[in-house]
Amino acid sequence: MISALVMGIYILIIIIIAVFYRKWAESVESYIVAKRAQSPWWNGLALTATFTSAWGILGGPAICYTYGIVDFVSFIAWGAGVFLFIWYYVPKIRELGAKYGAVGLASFMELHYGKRYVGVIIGILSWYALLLYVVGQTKAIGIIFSQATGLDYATSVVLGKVIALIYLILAGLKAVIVVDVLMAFMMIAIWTTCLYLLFALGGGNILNTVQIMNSFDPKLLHPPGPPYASEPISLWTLGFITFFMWQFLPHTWQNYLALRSTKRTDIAIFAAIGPLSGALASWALMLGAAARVFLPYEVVPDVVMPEVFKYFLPSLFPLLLVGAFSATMSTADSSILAASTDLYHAFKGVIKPLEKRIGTVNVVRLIMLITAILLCYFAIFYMPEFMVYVMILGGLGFACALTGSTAIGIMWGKRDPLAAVASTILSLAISQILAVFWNVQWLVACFIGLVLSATIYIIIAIIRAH
Amino acid sequence: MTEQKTKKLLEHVLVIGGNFALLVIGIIEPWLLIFAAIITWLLLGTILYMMHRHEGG
Repeated sequence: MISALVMGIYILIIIIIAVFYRKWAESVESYIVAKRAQSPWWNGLALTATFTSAWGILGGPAICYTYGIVDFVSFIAWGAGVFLFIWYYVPKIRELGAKYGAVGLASFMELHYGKRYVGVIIGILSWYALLLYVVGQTKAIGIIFSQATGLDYATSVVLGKVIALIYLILAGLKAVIVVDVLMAFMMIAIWTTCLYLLFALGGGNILNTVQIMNSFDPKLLHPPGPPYASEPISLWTLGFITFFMWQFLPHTWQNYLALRSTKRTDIAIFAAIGPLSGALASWALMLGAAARVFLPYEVVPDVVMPEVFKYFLPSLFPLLLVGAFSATMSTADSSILAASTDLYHAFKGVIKPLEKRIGTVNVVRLIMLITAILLCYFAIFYMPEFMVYVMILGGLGFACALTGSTAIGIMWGKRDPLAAVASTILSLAISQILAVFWNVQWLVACFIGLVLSATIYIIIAIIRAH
Repeated sequence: MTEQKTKKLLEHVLVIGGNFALLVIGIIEPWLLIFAAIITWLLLGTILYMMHRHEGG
């Protein structure tokens, strides 16, 4: 009952924010890239919320409860990737994006390479990859919302999407940024509580907690091998590189394009705040591993965080639900906006009559509605294992396939549209085939896709230049 | 010009070296990352901000 009440108040605040910012839907520039005038503080907090899904509050601790703190790799290596990416790439993306008038990944690529077919292909692929990625988030929203309100899963999935659609449709990116900042603070509250518990479990001294964990099982803090069937050192190396590419995923391009300037002071603030959720989520992960020692009973890994809160801090359990809901929602909202913008861009020639009749912003809104309906359908009717599987490949696989066309094509003087499209499609297809039919470990498959994408781009660009 | 180049080089060393240090800590004593990561990123951001704060738009 209290959980439902807290969730209700929280949702009401989100809707009030959306209504307040509804005037930001007056033009495409304002609706999709928030007038390219967002401060690095707000944008950084929104970005850090967008990057973290429920994995940072529920999934990651579950892995650490089972295998020790091995999943630190996912967050710290990724955070390091965010910092490097923001410092080296964001100024270039922001500068070129403003020059081109780009509003997302697909339109940026089309204008950067000067060929319509690049925008069409990248737009469709981007929508497809994000759809697969956001299905997992949609399922998580349904599960958390259902736990908080007591409603059945299907209704919870639909209600969760309706809430996201309300602020997305009303005010676009501006509402997403403001709501995501609110959500970032909710997540920070959860992670700070986790750190407090880590200290409290050792009688106020975290070194005691570490010592107790070490005496119970040394593998908890020094895991011999991660659950991804790989050595920690190789996972760090692969993770470090592949997670750098993760930042090229379309759902965060709006944040890069919306930054108010490319001044190095702004970029420094953006770079410091952007990866923060990676650092803070490690507190929840460490608590997940500590639960193996300090919880007096064994639990199913997936519910370790709810159980820890119920056992040690029952009064804060509603906060955990709101935090987990925020984590999933902040990823899903940006992804729906980015996917819909890219799909609109891919088909903007075909839907011109409709665009003339109802306006560009309404066309994007319509695509968002259709995307959300599809997401609800997949989240309710598909098998969970399949969801997790395609979510991983759909996100990181696509990011790695973009290596040639983004990481190299943006910085290198040789801009070749054919190389951009061929490197993306071929490397995506090969990495998915490797993972699905040859059972190659998913992270290795993504890494092979990354190397292939870069190689194909360079070879085609050099051959065609001569 | 030389001063500019030195500053740029220092920036690269800080940004890449700082993040690489996290990777090394992660291999040697992973649990320390719960403090090392947040300190590194906030400190790096602050240093980079200070290095550029006198520059115009």
